[in-house]
Amino acid sequence: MIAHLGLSFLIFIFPLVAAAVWKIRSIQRAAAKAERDALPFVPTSTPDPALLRGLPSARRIFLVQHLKAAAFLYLIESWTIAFIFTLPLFTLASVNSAKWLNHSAYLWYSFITGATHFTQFLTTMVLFSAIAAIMPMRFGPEARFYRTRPIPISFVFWTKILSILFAMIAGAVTGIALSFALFFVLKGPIWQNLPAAIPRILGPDDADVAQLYASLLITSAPSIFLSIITTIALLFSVVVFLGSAPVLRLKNAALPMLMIPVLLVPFGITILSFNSGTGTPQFLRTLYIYLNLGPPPPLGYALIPIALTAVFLTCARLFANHQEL
Amino acid sequence: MTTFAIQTDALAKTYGLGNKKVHAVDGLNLNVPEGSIYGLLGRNSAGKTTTIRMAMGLARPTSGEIKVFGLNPAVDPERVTVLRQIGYVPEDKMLAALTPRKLLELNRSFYPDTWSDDLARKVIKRLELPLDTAFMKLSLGNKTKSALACAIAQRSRLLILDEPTTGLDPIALDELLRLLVEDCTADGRTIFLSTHQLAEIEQIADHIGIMDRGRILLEGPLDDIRSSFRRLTVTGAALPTTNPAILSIKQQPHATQYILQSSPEAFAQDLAVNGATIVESDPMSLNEIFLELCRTSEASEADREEEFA
Amino acid sequence: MLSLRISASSGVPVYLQLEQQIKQAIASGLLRSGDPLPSTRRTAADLRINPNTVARAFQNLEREGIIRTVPGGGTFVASLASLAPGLLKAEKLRRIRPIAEQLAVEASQLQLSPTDLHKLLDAALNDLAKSRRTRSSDPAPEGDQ
Repeated sequence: MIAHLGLSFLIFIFPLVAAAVWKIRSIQRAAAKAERDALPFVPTSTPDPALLRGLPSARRIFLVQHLKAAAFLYLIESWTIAFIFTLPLFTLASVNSAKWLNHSAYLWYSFITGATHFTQFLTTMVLFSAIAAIMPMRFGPEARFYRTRPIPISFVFWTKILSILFAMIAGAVTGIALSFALFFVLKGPIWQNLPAAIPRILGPDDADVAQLYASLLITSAPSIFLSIITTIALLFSVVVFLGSAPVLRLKNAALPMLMIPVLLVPFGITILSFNSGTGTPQFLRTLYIYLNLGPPPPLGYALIPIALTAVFLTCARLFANHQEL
Repeated sequence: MTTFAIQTDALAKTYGLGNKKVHAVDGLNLNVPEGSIYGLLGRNSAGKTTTIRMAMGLARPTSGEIKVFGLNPAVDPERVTVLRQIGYVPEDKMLAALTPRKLLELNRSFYPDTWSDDLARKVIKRLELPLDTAFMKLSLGNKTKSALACAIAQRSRLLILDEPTTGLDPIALDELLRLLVEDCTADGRTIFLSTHQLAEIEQIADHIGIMDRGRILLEGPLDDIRSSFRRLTVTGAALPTTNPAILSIKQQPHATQYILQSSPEAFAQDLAVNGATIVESDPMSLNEIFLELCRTSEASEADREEEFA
Repeated sequence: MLSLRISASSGVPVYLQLEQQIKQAIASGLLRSGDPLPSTRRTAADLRINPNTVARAFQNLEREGIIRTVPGGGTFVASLASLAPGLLKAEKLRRIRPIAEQLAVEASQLQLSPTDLHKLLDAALNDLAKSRRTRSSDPAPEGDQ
């Protein structure tokens, strides 16, 4: 089991590390070459994609820079999510499968719980992405540089925030789609082959399995995946909102007043969702945070986190007007 | 009708709360005429950098007003119009790119109308800026040179330089002065410098402002200021002690030393008419004027605090 | 090329220093009539001073007739014949004045009379004339005497 996990982690991390090492090496090589050549300052202009030609050059370059970074994030996230979701395909121990008496059911169960246990990783990833989105706008020489160039504050804000948010959501969608496709290709349409009811063979000793079975049969996979997307957006916008909050400026230090809750919120949600047994608490269901086995919340609730995301991001945008660097 | 590149009206900026309140800028009335080379002088915590940050829209005034080319630099869309016309060297010389070359390439995209590659090359050559050294390996002087190259090559209508001499050796400093005079003053462009380097200011500035504790002590054309200040050593009886022209008086064993801040000829004539003898009459360098003004302002501030205590 | 030295902190206004030094250069023959002067901007850049200051000095000199600007561009030293000879003399005297004043102060502190001072000056001028004559009639280097 451990060996399995170890091996799968290595398979996961390998392309990321390899890409990072290759990228760092090529940057170092280019830097060394530049120092050796000592070329005079003769900048070349690269033509921009036709789509962006309507924008003034300053904004175009800023946008292209951020789209490139977002694409990078997208790739990492797709790979990670696809990997985590398809992991059950390769690491199942058949002993539990016997208890379940239905291999398809067990496979499906692993896939779904893989998706829901993903929340810890999800919240951490969203937290760091949101912080990476907001901090370069508030602190550091890069922030001061862009704030003193002739581009509107709103352009800077929306480019940074939306490029990362869309990259994350698109990455989640791609990862989920890829893993689904893989499942379909390797095991056929499992979700169509689930038994209609709990096998009667299960006795009182298998009460836990029976309970999981029951939950599994009413779980709605599409709702879970929709929930993943809305929860990403919601968490992201909350962290961005908190990170944009006004700063209490003491003589030489700057303390974002609400930074500490930034760390508490996502972990709070994770802990809540883990402790909720076969269903998630009503509060989380209202926010369409549906990350466990059990009946899905009504579809209409999905609009709530979407609306909240819009509200939080708008407030963060308004905060950005008053930020001092 | 002089237009002003930068103008402030009772500008104030306060940080902190309650007892720990800091009045970084405290009722500042600054007037930087367009086409001038204006030197803002002051001690370390006088509030110069805070003022400049407000001119760049990096901070908002607590009260009062600041206008750059008559526009508000803190609120879009006027802010963008203002920034399009400003070349800025901040006090903190950290780079926003991996190498000076990359910084220059990045910066030029923001100012397509006024940027000059030729001027950039000239600055690079004159200041001996290493284009491809990673910013972590750059010395402080080279970081300053990178920021200067970016700002100067923009050929902006207004150059705002906050401590532009940090880390520069005497040769680089000399080259900088030459560049500023040669390439940054044509077409009515304005240079606004904030620095401690009084000697350099005295050479190239035609207007100066002396700032202390968040407000202006003295402002105006440098030639006028230099001709208004004089040090007189006088002997005689019944010498005047109060007169608006007197900045400070020092009693010496056999003479009285006056530091005058306005109409020194009239004062000297007055003395002569009343029978006093002027033993020495010397002009004062900018350094001496600055020191004297700050000392006097500190002394009167201490007196005022004692009164209220 | 003309070398000017400006001291910004000496207390004398920079434009005045410029004017005086140009007049001095003309007086001592370093600049002759018709010689070109570098442009305002070039002069300012070379000296690292404000172009407005140079412009002011040039304007004053032009008003006094010492330099002239040609409509197509370019500034030149005016023909000196047109200048009143007294002007250059006034410049020379102005240069010596500080030394004279210092001499007067020192002499009065040592309580020397004006006659003593005049005698001292005459003696110094005589010595100078004598050494000039000896040097011109005896070009060989001095041996041990």
